[in-house]
Amino acid sequence: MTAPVPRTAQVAAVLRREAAVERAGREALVTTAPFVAAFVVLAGLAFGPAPEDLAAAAGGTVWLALLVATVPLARTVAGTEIAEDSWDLLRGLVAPGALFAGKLLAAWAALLVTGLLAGGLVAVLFQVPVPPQALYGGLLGTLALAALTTGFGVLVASGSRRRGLLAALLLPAGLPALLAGTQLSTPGVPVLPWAVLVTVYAAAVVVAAWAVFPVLLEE
Amino acid sequence: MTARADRRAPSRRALRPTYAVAMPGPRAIPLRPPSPGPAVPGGAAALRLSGVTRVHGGRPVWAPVDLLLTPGTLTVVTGPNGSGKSTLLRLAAGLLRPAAGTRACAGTALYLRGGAGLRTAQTVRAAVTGTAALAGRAQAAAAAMAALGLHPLADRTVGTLSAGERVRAALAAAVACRPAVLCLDEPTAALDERALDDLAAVLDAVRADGVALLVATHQPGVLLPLADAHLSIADGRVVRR
Repeated sequence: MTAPVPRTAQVAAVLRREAAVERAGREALVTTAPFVAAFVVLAGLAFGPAPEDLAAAAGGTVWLALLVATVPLARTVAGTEIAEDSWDLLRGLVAPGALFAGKLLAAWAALLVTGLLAGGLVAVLFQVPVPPQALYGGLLGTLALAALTTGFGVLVASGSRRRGLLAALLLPAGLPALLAGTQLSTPGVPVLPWAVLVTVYAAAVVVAAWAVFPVLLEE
Repeated sequence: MTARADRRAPSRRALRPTYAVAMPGPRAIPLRPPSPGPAVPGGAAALRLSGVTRVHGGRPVWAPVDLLLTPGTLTVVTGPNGSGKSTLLRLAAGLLRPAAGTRACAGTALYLRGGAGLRTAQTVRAAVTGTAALAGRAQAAAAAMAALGLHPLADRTVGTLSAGERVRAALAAAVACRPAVLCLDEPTAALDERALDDLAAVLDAVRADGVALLVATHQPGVLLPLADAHLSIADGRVVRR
């Protein structure tokens, strides 16, 4: 008899599968990356050219790009799988907790790469310094957005009539990450309250998404 | 009401010569016993549904049904569109929660819709191996691909395969995971006559290896001669078996 697959091994297998699918299809690369690059360049043209205006808009530009990028990313959680009839096989093989963790880590990695791209472009084009607390906000803010993306990705994919609600649900739900991330990316802003907000928000969203994920799977 | 698929002595019939190009000679699918799962009351059953019902939107869509599948059997499910075939298969696979009744499965139960199940951007080799890895059986992928004659297609992307090839690729991935029960929802859709014969041969080999197959189809002609049981359903109930 074969031994049951350990949960950590299943999480790693889901993560490897997500990476392999992205390598093969380059969906995020050819959709999200050009979108984020265009967003940052257009924001620079809209808010500039005065350096002080660009400095004030820099953090918000990065986090708006990140927040909007969660909408197409959410479709890769379950929507694309359902469209390709691969979702049921995946559900049959992977325990809900491991499936959530694998999808969450994949979404987090995608958002971190997106954040690095957007942040790098803003730092170069807007010529603004990156305060150290921006890294903390970036790590936890993207984790919270990844958990939201994972939960809403499954919720919306489970019913065709609900797909139009994705942006309407996801964008306002990510508001705390947008606010805290923007403030932590702006030099001279008090760090503690925003760091506490993003920490509590990330913890709450991850726990809530983990708790409702198995229920959403059965819908 | 019990729809029982009696166990037959496992046939060791090899795949039909249709696969002669891809396969050097007759071979059984080299698989290990199913993964351990909760014990199924009543002996060597792969799956048992007892008094299972399903309610959707407040409306009952499946009357209480009993179903017993034993290892190495093929059960064909037929019925008109909307009769509840997919719901029954999804209940059997554990993808839907019954409103009442119990389900016990001696291992993993997998569900494939239309014979699909793999990501279209990946190559056949990557998709089958990646799927098998989810069950901790990546090492079984090559053998399953060989048994289903997929090595010539291994480096093609799934999206470029024909309907029949895609069904075989998905079956290879599922078989590599060594499920106790494999539920196939309309795997015969979009297949031509030759692909239907190929599919029948593949299913015969999968069954011979001890997997309990539950197959819903609108084209039962090619599968019924192989079947151990036939469920005819209508309006969310078994009307004949």
